[in-house]
Amino acid sequence: MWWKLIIFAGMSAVIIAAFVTPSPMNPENSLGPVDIYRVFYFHVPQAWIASLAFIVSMIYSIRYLRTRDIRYDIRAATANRLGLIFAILATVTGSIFARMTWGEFWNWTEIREVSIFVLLLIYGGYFALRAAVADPDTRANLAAVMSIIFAVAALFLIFVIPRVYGAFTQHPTDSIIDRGGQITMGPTVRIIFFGSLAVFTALFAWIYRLSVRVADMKYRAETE
Amino acid sequence: MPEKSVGWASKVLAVTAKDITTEFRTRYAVNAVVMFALVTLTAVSFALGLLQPSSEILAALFWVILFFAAMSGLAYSFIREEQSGTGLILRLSASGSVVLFGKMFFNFLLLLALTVLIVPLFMIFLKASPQDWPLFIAGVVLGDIGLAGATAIIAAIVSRATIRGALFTVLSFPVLLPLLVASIEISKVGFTGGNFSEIAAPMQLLVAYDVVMIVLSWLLFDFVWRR
Amino acid sequence: MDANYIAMIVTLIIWCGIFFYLVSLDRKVNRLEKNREG
Repeated sequence: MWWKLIIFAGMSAVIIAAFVTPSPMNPENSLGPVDIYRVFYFHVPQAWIASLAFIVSMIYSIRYLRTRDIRYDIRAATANRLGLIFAILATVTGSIFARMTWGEFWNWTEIREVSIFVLLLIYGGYFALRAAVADPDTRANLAAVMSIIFAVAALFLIFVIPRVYGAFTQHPTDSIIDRGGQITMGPTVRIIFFGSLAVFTALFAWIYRLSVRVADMKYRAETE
Repeated sequence: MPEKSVGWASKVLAVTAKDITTEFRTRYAVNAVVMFALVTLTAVSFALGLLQPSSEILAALFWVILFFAAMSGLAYSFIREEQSGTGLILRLSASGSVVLFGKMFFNFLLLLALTVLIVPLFMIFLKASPQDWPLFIAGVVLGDIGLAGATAIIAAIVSRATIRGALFTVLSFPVLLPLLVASIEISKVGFTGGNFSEIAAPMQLLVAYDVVMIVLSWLLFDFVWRR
Repeated sequence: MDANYIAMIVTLIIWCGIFFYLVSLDRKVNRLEKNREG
């Protein structure tokens, strides 16, 4: 039970620090009120969790295909459900961040914006497929196969596309990564940022475990 | 006299041939694909009026037309089997890979026929003329291979769903994005004419994509096809 | 009042809400699981 308190304290600390310490953005690079950049402490972890959830679900999808144990399918779907929520959050907060850093809410040549949007499309497609199949076993099968196909296609997009579009990110420096790809965070910013990353991951692990326990109970109730 | 075992390739072609003959009778897929492409092309051309789009836009328009035409017709090959009840016989008489590649090849031929029809019309309506023909053709053919290759298993998945609607398009779009990006890039250079180094990267990407997606489909197909 | 402090308070309130909701869910699931064992 103590780890729940740690999560509580940790997130509270991150929230307080995010608003009390100086804004992570350099006033000369920003196009809007400097304080809006604080969303960066929350946005990046959300995007990270959205991707992590998909990876978790992929692992369980593969396990399902190997063993045909429906409980793996439950875990895969649960992970994706959480991932969808975080992906929506990440897209919205990311759009705000983009507006402040680069002047527009959306831009298709910014690879980070494209990848989170594609992730959203993948989650949408995954649940559209699940909704369209009535039989649970078929649904689990098809959803698992589709997950793998999505993952491979997404890998192509994320790792190979930037090499195709040479000047893909024409964006000037932001507070995270500059032109040279180096991380340009100050020490305070760094602590809060990585702290937020850790807390969000722990939070996700907790919510995920909880959701799986609920889904397991529901499954057992239905099959008795 | 010992039975001569029929080669894998001829089995695949047999599936393709059967699809072609069925298509000749009903013409669902051909109609959908051709009409959709023509309508889209006409609408775009009409909307542009006297404006002459740049090569970038022309390349993008070309692939948008191909993409939506593919979405309207490539799923028929599998859906038809389920609807007419012939799926069971097919499962019994042919292995998974035979069915997959047979139908994949059918879809590829369909796209090829569409491409042959659309490219001249595209050139006429939009006054677009590729400067580098071999490059343009190579890009389009590789793109067609990818379109047919990546969507075959998705069509099989959709054929097993109870409610289909726009499922095929929804599932295919994220998967086809890398192909679209690379193909548009190559076609653009095909229109403006350029040297090979410009499109080396997208070309490699496209070939890699085609190979990976086809192999992946082959590995996963049995999970979709077998009940 | 500095806008930062308002945003911080609001975020903290939302976080507390989420946290206590999760804790109560956790307790409920624990109880239900124990009932199953029993």
